Amino acid sequence: MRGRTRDVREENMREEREKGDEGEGCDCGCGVIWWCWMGWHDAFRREFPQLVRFDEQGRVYGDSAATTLKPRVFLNALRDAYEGLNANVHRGQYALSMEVSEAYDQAKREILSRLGLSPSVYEAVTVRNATEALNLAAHLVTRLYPGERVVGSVAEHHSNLLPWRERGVHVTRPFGEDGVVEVDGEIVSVTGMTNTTGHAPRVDRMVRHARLVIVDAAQLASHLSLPGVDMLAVSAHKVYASQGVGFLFIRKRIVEEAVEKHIPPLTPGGGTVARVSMEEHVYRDDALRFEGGTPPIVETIAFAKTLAWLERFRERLRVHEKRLARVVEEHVERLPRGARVLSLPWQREKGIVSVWHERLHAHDLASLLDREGVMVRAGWHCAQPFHEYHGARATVRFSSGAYTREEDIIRFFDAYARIVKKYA
Amino acid sequence: MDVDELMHAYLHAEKRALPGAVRGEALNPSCGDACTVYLVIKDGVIQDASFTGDSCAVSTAYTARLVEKLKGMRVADAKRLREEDVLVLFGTPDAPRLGCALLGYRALQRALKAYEEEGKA
Repeated sequence: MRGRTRDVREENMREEREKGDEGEGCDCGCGVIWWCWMGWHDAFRREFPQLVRFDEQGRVYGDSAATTLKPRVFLNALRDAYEGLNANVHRGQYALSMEVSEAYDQAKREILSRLGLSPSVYEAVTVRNATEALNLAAHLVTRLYPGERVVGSVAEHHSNLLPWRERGVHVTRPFGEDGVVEVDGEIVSVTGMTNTTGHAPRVDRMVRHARLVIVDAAQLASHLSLPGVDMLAVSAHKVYASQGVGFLFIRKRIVEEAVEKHIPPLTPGGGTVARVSMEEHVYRDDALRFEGGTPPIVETIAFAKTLAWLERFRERLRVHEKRLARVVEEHVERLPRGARVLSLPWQREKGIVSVWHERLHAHDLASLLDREGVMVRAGWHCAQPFHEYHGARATVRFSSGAYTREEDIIRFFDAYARIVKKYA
Repeated sequence: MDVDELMHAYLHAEKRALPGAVRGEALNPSCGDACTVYLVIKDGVIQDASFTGDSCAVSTAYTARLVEKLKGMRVADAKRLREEDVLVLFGTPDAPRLGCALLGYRALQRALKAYEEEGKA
């Protein structure tokens, strides 16, 4: 095995994959012996075609918080489903339609359980993305609890701020040192993990004192483990799968309550109704009441398959991402003079950093970093209030994904320091 | 686009307001950059031009060269300036920076408009 050329190894790996990834037992238990030869994380990274291209170009992708790169298993699942499971999900028609409906329902259940939520407790309402999920949450909450305010943190993404503000119910409260937003019997809608700094608020502690808890889990979901709160918003494209599909995970009993109180869907239309006449209509009395139009069926199925694949790396990724967060913390301590970061007073859990400079503008820094082969985002990252809270200018953000290496983070910080030294 | 040349222009750009000038402002909402262009016009000729504002290197450098070019220019010629005429000042920037490079140009358009309105008043 050792001493074979790279081409032969590639050929063998391709054969192994085609055989269904079943290899002889290996040291690390990943099941594919060839992968052990190169280290599990290298093998994991090679499953992301766009990442392989970036590696070949010597470039680093530092924008996973904006959207994640996609693994081959996801791309294959998408293509396979469109090739063989392409039909709409309205029930009771031809066999393929029933098969697709079953696959779609099963995918939802699988997505819930792989993310740590029980399908017997939660419904998964398919929407376009976390923004839409939060709009649906705001729609439901303000109708179930009219007049009640909703508490959010200073670090919210605009998508967990505007839907509440538009309904006149939002209140911002600062974090305590322990990662808790103080609530006293109120409804709280808080980020599960900030997209600017990778901090995860202590949602478990807030639950005890809140009337209802909604979590914007867009970023948190990439850590594959969600807290058991009342509602959660997720975007699949931030978890190594499709754009255009997201979910509002919602406790079944809240759906029942919404039905009892005759709350109409946010997006009324086909799929939400039990019957429609020339004069009137009756909405469905289950969660599908809130799913208007044909959902992203294939994308949902492909997301479930992606999560199933990620399962085999779960524990290793957990350790890996923790390590990346530590590397970020270490380098933040050593940033050059004039550079400042967005921060919160407890340890971050993901390798994300947003930094601004007194003399150098974020767009210039991002352009110069791009020329050095490091891809980062510049601007407000849909978290302008959080910038204002720090008195910050627009920031440059490097954000890790599961495939990010320690050396990628180091390369970002080194390039940043070099640029600042040269021009500031 | 030569990065060093541009950064030099940025770091040495002279920002000043012109009292009694007609002015135009432009904002880049994606980052909060703002730019104000001032024009002192007499007998249809731009006697003096300057700019102020907190903005990125690309925006500052292009605007600095643009106002230099405007000095002594007839208003009629300034009105005929196109985006391309501005972008060549440092060579076309990387695509994501086009908006930055044209911030001063947009402020100029507003200043020229304000001059026109003044003339009609």
